[in-house]
Amino acid sequence: MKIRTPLTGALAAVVAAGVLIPTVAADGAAKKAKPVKKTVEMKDNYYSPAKLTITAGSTVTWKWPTDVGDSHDVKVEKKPSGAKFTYVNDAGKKVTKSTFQSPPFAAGPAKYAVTGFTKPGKYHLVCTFHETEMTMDITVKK
Amino acid sequence: MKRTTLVTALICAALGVSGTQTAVATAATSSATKKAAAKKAAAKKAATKKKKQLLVCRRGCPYSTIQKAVDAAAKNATVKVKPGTYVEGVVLTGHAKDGISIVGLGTKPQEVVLEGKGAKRADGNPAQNGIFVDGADNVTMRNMTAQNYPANGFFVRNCNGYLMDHVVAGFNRAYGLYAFNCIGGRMTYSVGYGHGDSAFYVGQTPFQDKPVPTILDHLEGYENVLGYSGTNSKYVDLRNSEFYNNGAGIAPNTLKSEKFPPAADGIVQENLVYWNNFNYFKAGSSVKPLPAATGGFQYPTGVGIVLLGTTRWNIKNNLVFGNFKWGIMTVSDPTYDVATNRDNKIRFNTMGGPFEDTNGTDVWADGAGSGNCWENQSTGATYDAGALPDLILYPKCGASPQNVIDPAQLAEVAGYLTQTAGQEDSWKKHPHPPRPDRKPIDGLGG
Repeated sequence: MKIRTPLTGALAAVVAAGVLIPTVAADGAAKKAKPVKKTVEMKDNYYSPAKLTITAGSTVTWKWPTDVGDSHDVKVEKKPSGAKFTYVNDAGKKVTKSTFQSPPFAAGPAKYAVTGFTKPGKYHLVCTFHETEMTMDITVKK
Repeated sequence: MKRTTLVTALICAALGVSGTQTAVATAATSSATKKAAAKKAAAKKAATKKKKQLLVCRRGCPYSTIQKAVDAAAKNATVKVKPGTYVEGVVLTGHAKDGISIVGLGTKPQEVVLEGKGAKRADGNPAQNGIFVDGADNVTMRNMTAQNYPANGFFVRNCNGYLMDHVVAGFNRAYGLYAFNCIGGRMTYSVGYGHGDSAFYVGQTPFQDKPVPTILDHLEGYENVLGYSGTNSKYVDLRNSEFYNNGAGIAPNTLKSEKFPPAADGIVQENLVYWNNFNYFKAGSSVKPLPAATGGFQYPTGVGIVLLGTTRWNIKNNLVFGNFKWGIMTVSDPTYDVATNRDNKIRFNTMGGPFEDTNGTDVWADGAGSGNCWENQSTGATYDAGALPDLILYPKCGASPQNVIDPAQLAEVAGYLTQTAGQEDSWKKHPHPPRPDRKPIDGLGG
């Protein structure tokens, strides 16, 4: 009993800090967290947000507003081995590949959605026009 | 078909198979026949397709869009486009499209128009460029116009060689003719107007052990934020061209935003650079500037030629007149060392006086960098006075010219570039002598 109160407090603190913890099912097995949908805005010259944490299988949509300014794209540069991504290609067909790079857009409204991020780990993405300053990181958890 | 059935029945009779089995066998044979026929038809279609001429027009040609013809084109093929308006954005991707030429068949570039208003991509997003070449080498675009695209008129990137010849780009949001991360290439006999950045742009040129020059020859840029711009551009030879009525005429520059800094080893020669007094900052301007890539600083207006943090550029034999702020200016970025002017030569340029169309001041420098020199401009050329004597601020091209930062000049340029429409307040305005087929816009216009 003495231990219980501080432990509950510690758990509450962890939850309050926004740390992802797997849900525990009635039978005690850890449930997989559900995929989520996230949006990233294209700006001159940065992504907003520039860091994301998602679960495997989630969808991230990059959105270009009506008038961005310069051309920007998004390309996955580093990823865990075996990661797969599903997106609509230039020909308008849905494809699944081990990498992706959006077309460049300067003005929209335009969007580019990628589903997958199938492997937990760190993903590094860049705008190929502004590689020196326009980058973002996605952390994928189980 | 009858013969097949008969043969099958005979075989079945000989083998003693049942009626049901016969039906199954007949169906199988029929299916095989169909497959063979389909295969034959496909082969015939493919053969026909191979022979199909890569001719495009709205009705009655083998292809009704340029994109369809480009998709069907093999390496080094020529796609011919008949006069008309094509509402589409054409994309060529990868080496499978190396050497393709897209040629307008009109008597002038304005007869074949790629129109950006209402053009859509296959994925449903708005088409961004008239023609976008991504990773294909030596593609030619000739004798056509691209207008009103949300990004660029003619755009090549990640390539080894290209040719944009006799093309016109008008009122695309960013650039008219745009090359990025390419080795070599040519833009010739082309026109760009109404762009929120520049009419002609060569950027992020990779360093090369044996440099391949990028030739920009016989170009005309007017009513753009910048006539020519090139961030981290290299080995450019910009010549025999005309830049007028822009915010600034010619502006090679070094910025953090792109790879391979600095802008280096370029030549700007034999150009006409005049009347670049377009105050696009004013309300009602037909051209909206892109957000400046220079942080809190704006691009300058009223300027002929600007060198921002360049290395080994040679500015020679140009005619520079009627620009109300400065004729030729050199400025460095004090926050980014690689964007410091080094070893640039500004020589033998004819400035405003001989044309009776003076620049605000012919030559301006902030004094930063090393090895930059100025000499032999036309008689009477004016050098903007700073705190330092002219001989120190504008040294001649001797063995190793020394440069010294002039704090008064730095303060002046910082004050100027933090203004927008107010830049015009310090211009030295005057009427220009007339030029055939040209009308100055001095301030807002266009």
